[in-house]
This record gives sequence, C-alpha cells and structure tokens, in this order.
Amino acid sequence: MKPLIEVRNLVNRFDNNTVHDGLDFDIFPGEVVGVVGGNGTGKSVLLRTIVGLQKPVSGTVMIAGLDVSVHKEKNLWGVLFQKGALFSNLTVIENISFQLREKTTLSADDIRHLALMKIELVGLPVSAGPKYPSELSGGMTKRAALARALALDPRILFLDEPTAGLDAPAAEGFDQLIRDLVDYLGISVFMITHDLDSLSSICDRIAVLIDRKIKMGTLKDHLKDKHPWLQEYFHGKRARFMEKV
Amino acid sequence: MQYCTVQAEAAAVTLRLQGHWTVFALPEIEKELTGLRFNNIRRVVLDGKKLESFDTSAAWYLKAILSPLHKAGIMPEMHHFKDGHIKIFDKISNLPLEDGERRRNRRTHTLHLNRVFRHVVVGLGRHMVHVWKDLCRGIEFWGAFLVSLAQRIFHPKNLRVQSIVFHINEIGIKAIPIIALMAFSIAFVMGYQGAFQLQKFDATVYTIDLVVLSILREMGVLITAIMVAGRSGSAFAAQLGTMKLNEEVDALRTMGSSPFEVLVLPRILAILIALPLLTIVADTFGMLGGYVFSSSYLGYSYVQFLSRMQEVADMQQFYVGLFKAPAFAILIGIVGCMQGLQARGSAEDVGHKTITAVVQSIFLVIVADAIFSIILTKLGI
Repeated sequence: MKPLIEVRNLVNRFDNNTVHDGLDFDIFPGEVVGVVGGNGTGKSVLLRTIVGLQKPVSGTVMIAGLDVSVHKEKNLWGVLFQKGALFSNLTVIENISFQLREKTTLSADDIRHLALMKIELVGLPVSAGPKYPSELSGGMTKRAALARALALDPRILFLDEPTAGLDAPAAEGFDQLIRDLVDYLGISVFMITHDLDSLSSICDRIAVLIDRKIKMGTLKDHLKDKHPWLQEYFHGKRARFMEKV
Repeated sequence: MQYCTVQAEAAAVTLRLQGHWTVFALPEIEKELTGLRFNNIRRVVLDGKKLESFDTSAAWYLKAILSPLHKAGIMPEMHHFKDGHIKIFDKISNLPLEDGERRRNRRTHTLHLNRVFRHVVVGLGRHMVHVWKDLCRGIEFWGAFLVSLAQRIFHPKNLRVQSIVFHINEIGIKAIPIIALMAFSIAFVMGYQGAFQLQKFDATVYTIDLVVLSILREMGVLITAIMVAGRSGSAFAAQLGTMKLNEEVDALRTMGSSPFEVLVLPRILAILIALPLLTIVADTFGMLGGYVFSSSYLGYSYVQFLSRMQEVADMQQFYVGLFKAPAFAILIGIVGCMQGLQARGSAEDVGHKTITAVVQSIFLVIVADAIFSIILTKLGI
C-alpha cells in the first residue's frame, strides 16, 4: 500500500537544541497512529512541521505525494488543536461552514445543511449549532472542533491531545468517535496523546519520540522494548492495567 | 465532466455514479441532477462501479435526492460500490438528520412596523438599564478603590511600589513625546485661528492671552486626559480583560490575593500620579507652541511674550487646570479597569470592553470638565 504521509530525514532545531535528528516514517491510509514522548521531545513541533506550520531545518514531508511546504491549500488534512481553536466570534455552525464557504461554491443553504450533518456526524446535538464556543463544555468544544476539521472531508486528521481535559466517559466517547470515523470514512489519524487508554484502544501503531529519533511500532513491540523511558512509560504505575494487553 | 448517467425504464431507474463525488464537485453534481424527478418509480438502482471517490458531503446529497423515495418506502439497491463508499453512505444515512424543508420555512423575514418600533423601544430600555448598572458598578468600584487605598495608607508596606513605578513608566513617561507634540500643535493652531480673528480689531496682542489662558485652564489637561484615555484606559481594559479570560484573575483570588489590590490599585495610583505630571508637560509645550507662533507670525520677542504672559496668567490659572487632572485620572483608571474585569466569554468581548472603556472615559472626562467649568465660573475663579 502506498503511504499517505512520508517523512524523510526530518531535522528540527531551535538555536542549538536539536529536537528531531533525522526522522523517517510513513503513515498509511486508514490507520491511527498515536504519538507519545516525554515533555519537550517535540511532539507538537512534529505535528506543526507535518502540516506545514513550521519549516524544518532539513528533510521533507510528503502528504499524498505532495510536498507540504509547497502545497498548503490542498485541504488534505484537518487539524484539531489542543484547545479546539474555534473562532470565538463565530457560532459552531459558522465555524464548520467557514471552509465550505471559502473553498467551495456551494449555496448558503447547502452549506448550512452540510454543517448540520457534520454536527450530527460528531455526535453533537443540533441545538449546539447556534451556540458560541464560549458557551460549550470542554467535550462539546472538542467535538465541534473535530466537526470543523472534518468540514472538507480531509484524508488525514491531526489531533493534538484530543482527550486531555475530558472526564473518563467523555474521553472514552471521543476515542470511540475517532475510531468510528476512521472505520467509516477511511481517514487516517495522527494523534498526540498521553492517554494510555487511547493508545491501547484505538491506535493501530504508536510512534515514540525518544532520543531525538522516532520509534514506530505496535503497542506489543513497545512493551517488549528495553529502553528505560519506554519501560517506565508502559510499565509504570499508571500503566499497570496494560499488563493484560 | 459527467458525474452521473440516469437510465430510466418503466418503473425502474438506474443511476450510474462516476468520477470524484466530493464536496468540491458538489455544485457541479447539483447542476447536473437538478432536473431529476422520480415519478411512479418503484425501484432504484445505484451503480458505483466507476465511482472513484465519495465523501460525506456527497453522501448527504445523494441521501437528500433519494429522500422522496425513502419516504415512499423504496430503498435504493446499491451495486458495485466499494466497501468504503458503502460505509460512508450508511453512516450518513443513519444520522438523525432533521428535515431540511421544515427548517427552511422557519426563517421568515417580514418587516412589521410594530416589531421595529418594539425593537427600538425595547433596545432603548435595555440600554438605559445597562447604563444604570454600569453607573452603579462604577460607584461600587470607586468605593472599593477608596477602601483598599485607605488600607494601604495604614499598611504602606504592602503597597506594590514596583508595579506602580512600572505603570507610571507605561502611562506617563512613554506618553511624553506624543503629548508634547499634541500640546504644541494645538497651541499653534489656536494662536493661528485667534490671531486671524483678532487682527480685525487690531488686537493681536490678545492672541497671547487666548493661547496661554486656554492651554493652562482647559486644553492642556483635556488633551492629556483624552490621550491617556486612548493610550492607557484601553490598555487597562485589554490587559485585565485578557487576564480575566485566561482565568488569571481567578487564579489570583484562589491564592488569597485580591485582584483589586494586585491589579487595579497600582494602575489607578500610577495614572493618578502620571496624569498631573503629563498635564504640566502639556502646559509647558503649549506655552512653547504659543511662543513659537507669536514670535514667528506676530513678531513678538521672547521678552514681550513672557511679560504679557505674566500679566494675564498667574499661578491660579495653572492650578485651575492642574487640579482637574487627578479627577480625570480616576475616571479613566476606574472605567478602564472596571470594563476590563467585566470581560467574559471571548476575545471579541475584550475588544468590545476596550472600546467601551475608551468611549466612556473620554465622555466622562468631557462631562466632568464641563461641570468644573460651570462651577469655577460661578465661583469667579
């Protein structure tokens, strides 16, 4: 299968601090990749580099065969930022309609209906449509932001800590929603997370940022790894329940 | 490019979908299928053999055009679709989408005169209530300021000197160039206009009276206050508003500090110190503007200007202007901080509160100035 994202020899450096030293990895269509790593290992930097918000020192990122530093307007990806980043002066419907209005020639009525469809697709009540982001709870904000990211049916979704700040049932519901969307819509997901539940329940593969490099593998591969950080991460007290896996 | 071929035979219709059915192609697809009607149809076949891509928006559209049949109990038969496309179509079909038609009818825009009238009256009333509440809050704020000021006077150790000095620098010292320039220009313009009229009576010497008195009594302090309201009143509202949204104000409260003491008091004390000092700067540069004008256009010498100035303006004129400065400072400081702390919800609200702070403080400064003018005139000062 042809990879959807190809990252080759990616180097990111701030002043003298090398964050990524030659990352190479692929992400395939329809898979969910979780990204973990200690604080300051450049998880967000990696995400920002892949979507072209940040220029790497060297290396290339290709999404669906296109270089992201050149093709920024292709609408191949949607990004869910950590705090949602919904436009605060627009309602939920207007937030979702934004890209539809800017990038397509659809009629206002169609756009409205498509936005409502997206609202239902992410499991929000239709009554959330006319609300402003400040009136939404944390879980609803995440869902609304996800609906906005899905507005143009991207082929890959980037999620930055999607379940951070959600209570356990809400986090589980959100995980389920993401898995559901992946299964139905055939999209790929690249998600930064610290939620061990998400890692074990919805991720097909896990990317670990460690020693300025990346280790890709399934959860089982990582559990067998002898690297001290991985040992601590997957076998620490918080991960005890995972022994069963 | 064709997206769909329709083949109708007797009571059955076959739709052969082809190409990329995506949100970007949707306007084209709609155009193509706009005349499609299903009359007396018993059976619908969808053929997805040549369908290359299919997204949720296209699925929604397909579902929408098939909905009349759906209501009649006719289910489309799907042939040769890829697994992924079927899944998307099923997912979208199973959403509890509300009927678009019904929703559309709810939006009616008719213009009723009595509704407009009611809107105006209700709006006006609401606005009045709002103004009244703002006024009450302002008075409350003023009281809170006095209380915490009194507490600090008895415990000056906790006075945040560093913070006050920082704000004096921001409000006062950084504003000196612009205020000096404005006072100079205004004095120059006033001299120019005044001299032009006074020439008719051959009384150009009174130009000096005009400029000196109006700068000292009114214009110096007024320009300063308006400038500070625009520069610092807005900054107060924006800073405090952002802190409020960021929950920094709540954080302070949970740490046992009063936001009023930490955030508001230093700002108001700083503006209280800075504004009178800036007024002196404005007065000085106003005089300078008056002198430059009268020497260059009216030909008065330095000595002539100064002796005329001493004749018309004693220290009292200077004090009349200066004593208004603290009053204006308090108005600007209180309005700015109060509006900032009332921000809630979104970044847009911070912007809105900042505008309100500037408009209200300039308005209040001018009203207060008018009241001072009347009182001082009645008192004969």
